[in-house]
Amino acid sequence: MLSRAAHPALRAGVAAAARPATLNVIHPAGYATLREIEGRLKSIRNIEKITKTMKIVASTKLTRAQRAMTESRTYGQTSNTVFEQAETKAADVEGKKTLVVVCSSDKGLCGGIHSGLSRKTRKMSAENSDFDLAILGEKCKAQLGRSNGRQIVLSFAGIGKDVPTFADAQAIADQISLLPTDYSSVQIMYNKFVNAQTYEPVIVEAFSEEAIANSPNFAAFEIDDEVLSNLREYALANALFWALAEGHACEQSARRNAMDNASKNAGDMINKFQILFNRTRQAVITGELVEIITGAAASEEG
Amino acid sequence: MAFAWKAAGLTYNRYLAVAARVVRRSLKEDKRLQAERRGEMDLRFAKWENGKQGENKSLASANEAAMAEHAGGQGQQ
Repeated sequence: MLSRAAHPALRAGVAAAARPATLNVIHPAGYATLREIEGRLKSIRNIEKITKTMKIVASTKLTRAQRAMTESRTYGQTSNTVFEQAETKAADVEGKKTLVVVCSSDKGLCGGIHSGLSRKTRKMSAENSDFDLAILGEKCKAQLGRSNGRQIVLSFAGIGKDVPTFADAQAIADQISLLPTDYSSVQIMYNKFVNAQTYEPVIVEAFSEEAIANSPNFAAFEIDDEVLSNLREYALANALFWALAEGHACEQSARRNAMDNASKNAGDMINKFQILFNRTRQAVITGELVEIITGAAASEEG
Repeated sequence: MAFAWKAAGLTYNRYLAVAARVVRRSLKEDKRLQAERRGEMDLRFAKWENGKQGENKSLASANEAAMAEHAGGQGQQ
């Protein structure tokens, strides 16, 4: 990797910067590296402890989150049945914007769950940038704030501390319906829970009043025009609740997986460093012995 | 308007939240504590303008203020 003639200080700097690479660097000076390896070994062990604990915490939270998800799914699907029966389709009104609600959360350390949502949003805006963004959670806000800052109209924080409640969803739905712009439809983007390992960003639609009123089978429900806006607000809250709960479950399972992988990697690194440590120690001892023996031999001769 | 809460500027969701809170509070002590945890909401939000984030505000108080304003506007009409 580095020639032996390289400056010692420079070599030390490079070794500190490229952590895993130090494994195959042969250090000419044994003593210093022995302590270095010991220190690194210790820090990796500590990190492994932390990631293991986080994994256990995420596992316990996951069961709760999954239960909340199945419950909230019933809300969302029941609310959707109305629109399925009425065969509601998104109103294609010219000149009206769509609002995209991105459901992420405040916390990181859970793999690519937030960046998956951000990527999908960016892809959508590359195709057609005529929509506004409302972002739930700090993570996606930070990511999309840099690239799509101008499209953001609202951002919410404080999501993901605990299992989302319906009160959360209602408050968000209220704030969204209080927005001055009249949106043709509201699309809620969240991570769909496929199984414990996989998730994918999907979109669920919450329709506008006109879209509901224009649906082909709408007359079958005999809804007064007066209560139509109520239905819309309630449906929005239902859909948001569903999306939040499912996103939360995905996040927990993703965090569990991420922490599992991190612990595994830490274990691998510990093994490698342990072997390196033992080898170096042996080399140091052999070196010392050689020095003593040659010294003794030299003084005998003299 | 046929609904009193609508005239008071509440949205349907707010109306539901208030109704749910009343039901939760009328439960027995042990059940009430459990149920009230489901009604908690502690979110903050910010409005964005031209790619700049505005002030972070509490969502609950902002919603109340917006609805009170809404009610005032309707009262004048």
